[in-house]
Amino acid sequence: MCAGDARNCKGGAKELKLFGLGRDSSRQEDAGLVRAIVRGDEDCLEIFYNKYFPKLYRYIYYRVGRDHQHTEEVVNDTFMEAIDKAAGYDPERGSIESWLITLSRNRIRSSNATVGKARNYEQSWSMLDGELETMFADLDAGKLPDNVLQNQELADMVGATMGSLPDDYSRVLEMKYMSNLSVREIAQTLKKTEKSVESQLTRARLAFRETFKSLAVDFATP
Amino acid sequence: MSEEGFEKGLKLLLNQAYHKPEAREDFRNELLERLRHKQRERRSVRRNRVIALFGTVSAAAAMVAITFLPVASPDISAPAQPASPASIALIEATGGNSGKTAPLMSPLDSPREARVLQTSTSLSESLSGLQAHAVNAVDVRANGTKQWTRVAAGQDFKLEDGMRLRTPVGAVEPVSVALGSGALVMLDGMSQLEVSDKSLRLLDGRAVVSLSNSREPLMLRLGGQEMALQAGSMVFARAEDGEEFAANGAPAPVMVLLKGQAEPVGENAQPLMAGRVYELFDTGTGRYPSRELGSYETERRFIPMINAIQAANEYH
Repeated sequence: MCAGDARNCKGGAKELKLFGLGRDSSRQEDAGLVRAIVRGDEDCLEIFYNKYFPKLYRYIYYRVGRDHQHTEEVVNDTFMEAIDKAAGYDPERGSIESWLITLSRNRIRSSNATVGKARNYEQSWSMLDGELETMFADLDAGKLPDNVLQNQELADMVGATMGSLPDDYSRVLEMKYMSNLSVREIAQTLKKTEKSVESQLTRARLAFRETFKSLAVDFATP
Repeated sequence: MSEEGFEKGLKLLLNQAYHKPEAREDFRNELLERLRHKQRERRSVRRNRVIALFGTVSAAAAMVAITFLPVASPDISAPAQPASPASIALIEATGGNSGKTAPLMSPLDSPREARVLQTSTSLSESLSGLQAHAVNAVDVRANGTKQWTRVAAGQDFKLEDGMRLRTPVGAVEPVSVALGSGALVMLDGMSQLEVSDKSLRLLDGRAVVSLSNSREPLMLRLGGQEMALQAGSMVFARAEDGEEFAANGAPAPVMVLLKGQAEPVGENAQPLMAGRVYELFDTGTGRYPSRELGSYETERRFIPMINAIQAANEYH
């Protein structure tokens, strides 16, 4: 199960360390998109929504215990709040993605508190300290046993990690390690060079590793 | 750490633990509708707030005082000096270019006093040398000079390449300039226009350009985009810093095609559709972002100008 109040607050800063984001040009594009929404541009609202809905849904899903109903509530409330507060979005302070995630965290906390999950999460995570440390060490050393994920919380950690990665990173990881596509096949699908895909995979793996480690440390620390 | 070992572990983790959650399609669509509704509600609230502040904007009113909205002008120089024959090529009221001419109706006049400029002068490829008529007093600056010259209402003058036109500093009502081709250009407070050899360029502020009485097309330049306006067309254009931003963060000029045809010049460029507000920045696709006409900003700012210029064009 995902962690409750204290975990989300503590892990926030590191969770937002999303690799590959924050390029000036895309940040300015996002700023323009939000300004258009403030002005009432319905087309831009739809663009914004389609771009960030999947990511936000995935992020929240693994933090409310993989419950679709609660996920829908939090996603709904987060987007509604985003429309209310769009005029206050400052691109200098972060990407739209990080802004939405920040908005969602209070909602996640409220949702988990409402269903009484907070205390249970803290207890679960405190029991995982040793297990997480071992698992991470085994992952690093390439010695993960086949039955590593007997614990649901650990499974949720993996989901939370993937949900925290930028879309282009999680996508190539899914294509390579879940769909078992070759680098060439990935390159053809994404219309990139093989070298570019290999480079992206390297960065994606590094991002996964760092994000997983960061989440594990933050969530497990009382 | 062995990269190969890490990859093996990662593959195991993802295949055992990771299930990409899929949202219900119904939920996704319903939420989008709720967001649209919320956005419309917020827009309506803002509009009502503005109307309450400025009073009711009557679409039927032809003479509405325009609220003077300070806008940074690229050139705020010394007050304009009265025009003299040496400073600007003024034209005698009885002379001027060939063709029959008549004073143009001032947008501030009542319809009964309407006078419309008619001319048989064809718009040559070059705007330079074309006769212009100051319906209202307008400030003019010749190319290469820094001094603005006040051309009095009713005065004719010649356009020159590089010439700039602006509303007099402190003017609260829009000013109109009629071109010898039959085109009418109206500039809102603190707006500035530049005449190039073959096009008019809106540098700053707001303008309505009407070719209702013109048999010739006109090139209008807005930001980095050149627009071919066909005879009979009317557009509203805005070039202001700090309000509308393009996707790349740069100020985006705005254009609304009120009637007729406006075609951007450029590869893959798509003609504008009437009744939509276009933000003119280069997306590389030939299409510009647009939205429906009627947001509170545009209604408040340019509908009075459009009403005035339409009234001017009714009497030809």
